Amino acid sequence: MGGLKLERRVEDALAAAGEVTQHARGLEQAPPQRERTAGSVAAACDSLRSLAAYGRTINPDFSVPLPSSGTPAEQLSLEARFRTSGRGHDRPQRFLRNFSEARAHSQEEERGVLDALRRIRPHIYGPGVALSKPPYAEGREAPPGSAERLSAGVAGWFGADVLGTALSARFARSPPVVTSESFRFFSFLAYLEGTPMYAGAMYHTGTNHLSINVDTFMDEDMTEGDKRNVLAHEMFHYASWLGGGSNIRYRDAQGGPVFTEAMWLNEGMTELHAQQLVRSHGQRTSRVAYANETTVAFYLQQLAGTDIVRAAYLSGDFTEVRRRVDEVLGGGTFEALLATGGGAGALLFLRERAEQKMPARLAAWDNDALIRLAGAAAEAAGMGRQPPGREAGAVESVR
Amino acid sequence: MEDEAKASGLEAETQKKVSDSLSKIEAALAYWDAAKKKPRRLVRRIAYLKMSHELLSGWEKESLKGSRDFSSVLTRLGKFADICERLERARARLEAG
Repeated sequence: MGGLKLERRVEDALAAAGEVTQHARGLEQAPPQRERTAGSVAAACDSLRSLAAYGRTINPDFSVPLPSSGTPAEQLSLEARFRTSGRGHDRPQRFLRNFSEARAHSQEEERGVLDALRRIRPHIYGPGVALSKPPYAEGREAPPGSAERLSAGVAGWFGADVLGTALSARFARSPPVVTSESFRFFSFLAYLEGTPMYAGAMYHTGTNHLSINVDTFMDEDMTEGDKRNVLAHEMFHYASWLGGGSNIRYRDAQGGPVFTEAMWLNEGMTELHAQQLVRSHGQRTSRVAYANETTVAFYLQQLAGTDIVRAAYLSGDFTEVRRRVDEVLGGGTFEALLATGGGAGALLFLRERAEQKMPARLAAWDNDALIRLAGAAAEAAGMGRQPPGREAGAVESVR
Repeated sequence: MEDEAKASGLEAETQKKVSDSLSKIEAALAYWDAAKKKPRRLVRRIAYLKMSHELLSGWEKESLKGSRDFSSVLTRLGKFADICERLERARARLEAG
């Protein structure tokens, strides 16, 4: 019995020793938990270090540098916006098929404005104030010489030679629709938008609808050319919107994208192109809207070239215009011109630069028939005189 | 179009790198959570890893589910670059002690 007990005790001891050995072997093969944790943390931190270094080079492939200011997200968003702006719009956001739909649209707009006026001036625009009465309820009622009758002919001028193939196709697919409105319609809009009360016309942004002030359009002082010019002006606004021209932008000398709110430049360009188009069809105008701005646009056209300026106006991208203007008149000229804010200040600034570099060319520009006409209007407005008839101040459009 | 393809390719590459990093971070955090004894010297690093995980996984979700148009892709890449700047600043503070 004693031998059995001992044998069992030895066996038990051997078995226990084997377990210990096994356990020790196990311990030798598996690193301690804390080492695994530390190693894993180190690997994760190294991975983040590499990722962050990669993040610093996130724009290695784009061909132009990002703007120098703003966070990386802001810089990339601005670059993206710059590139997508040039695509313009394939069609209006709201397409009006005919006169009736456009008439309903005018009433809708006017109703919206009147509602707003009633909220802010209830004692003036009470419930008794009605919508304006449109001059013609139906398009067929519009008489000869009206905006409705002349619009098709003017729209037909906007072919590929004027807008380029792609843009003229968009324009033709969604042709402009014109309605005549009363002076009261424009006075409502003018009150809220702070535009001149004598606004002669407007383009309803985002649509293919142009509204024309019947009182100014049918005035006996308006020549056939003046009327067509008003229509062409608004149609150019529409075409420019289709082409992306509403977003005026350029790349600065370092290639960074810059957006500007220089709507005065857009108005001058619009009037310049309208006047030149109308004149190219043998029509004469007796007035120039936005006289200072139109003259500035003309000077830029002479400096940068007709095709370059037209492409810039219709697409909104003035990079090449900036480059050429700066090349001739000195670095920073274009940006300084935009900074003047338009008007007589812009014209004066550009004339001073041109006078220093090319006085003879400036004199030739000023001899252009359109510029002589615009110069008369601008000079008269600047001297505060009321010219005879309506030659100065001209009929200005509202976008 | 070329730049659009490049931007999409860049985002795909970024997604992969982010995914690799997230895997390593998740492994480390799993070990940490399982450890009975948590060394004090690793506490700040773990906080850094948790912050990184939150930022990167948020970006990853947005990137995988977001719109594929050029502007959106560029915006997401810009956000990624911002995240990386934050990670570098956090790391610098960590190393400075």
